[in-house]
Amino acid sequence: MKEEITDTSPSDAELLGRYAQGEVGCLDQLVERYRRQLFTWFVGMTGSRSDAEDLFQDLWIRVIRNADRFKDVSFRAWMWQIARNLLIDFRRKKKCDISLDEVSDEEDHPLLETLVAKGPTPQQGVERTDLALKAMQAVGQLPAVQREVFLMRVEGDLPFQEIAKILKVPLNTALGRMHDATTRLKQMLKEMR
Amino acid sequence: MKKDVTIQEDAELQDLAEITPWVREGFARIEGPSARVLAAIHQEAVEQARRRPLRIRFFFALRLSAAAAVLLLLSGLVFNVWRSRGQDQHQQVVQLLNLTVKNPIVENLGSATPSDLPELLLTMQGLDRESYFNASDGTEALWL
Repeated sequence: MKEEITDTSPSDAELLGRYAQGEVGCLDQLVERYRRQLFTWFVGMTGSRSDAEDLFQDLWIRVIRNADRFKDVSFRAWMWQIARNLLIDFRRKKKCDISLDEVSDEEDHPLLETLVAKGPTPQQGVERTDLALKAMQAVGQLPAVQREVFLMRVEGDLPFQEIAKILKVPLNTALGRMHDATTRLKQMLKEMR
Repeated sequence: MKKDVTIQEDAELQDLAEITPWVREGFARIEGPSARVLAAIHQEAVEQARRRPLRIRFFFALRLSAAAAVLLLLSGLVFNVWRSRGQDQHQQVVQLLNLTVKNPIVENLGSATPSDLPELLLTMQGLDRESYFNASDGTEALWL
């Protein structure tokens, strides 16, 4: 279930500002607020739990060290921008200078298959669990450029305008990638069933 | 090559609504990040929060010393200009004095008696007693 932020809760910028004043608990709140979205995105993009953990930690260390300098209007956009930059650096190191945008369908091997997912709980039917795992595998088989948009939208709950801004692409490009991802996923899930 | 994509919104939303729950359910199985990572982040936050006042004090001291250095430089510059102007004035006075002292007429002043003064005054004007009182152009008629 998605975590919802009520209007009464302090804004991201407020929490970061309070952390900059010395309230460490405010940063913990921020981490908790974005923990699932970011970690899932990193796992989805790297296909590796340990890499995702490293990237997640690096991301928050950057946020912590630059908390004083944060003047941006949107903390979320700033944070996602850092996340994406970290991912680009990570992929460059792993794939010898291939940018995320340059990755073609052939080069982009699904890594999610290597992910060890939790087994089904007694409440969950085996079939249901199987479908959820297949959906994850299908996401892992998407080209990186489509996968990042898809996960930012579905897991990160980001609006398309923000996604386009983070990826530095026109809005139509982001929408097009989402369309391609959805079409492809539907097709793949149909084949898997 | 660019492809023409016709996005049918309703169908798109329907597809997405069909896929999203499965994807979310799948990703919900991923536990994490681990407590170790969260603890490391918390530790870093504590460390940075502890260092922040020190850093602020350090940067304040740095700015203060920079301002002091600039002030020192400026005062040195002002002092130098003031001193060089003073030196110029001093040199001018010295030059004037030198000129005055080197003048033979002035040098003779010390030994002059009051009776010599008219002579000296004429000398200073580049005249002499002979040519002043005995004009070579002869006696001028004082009447028409």
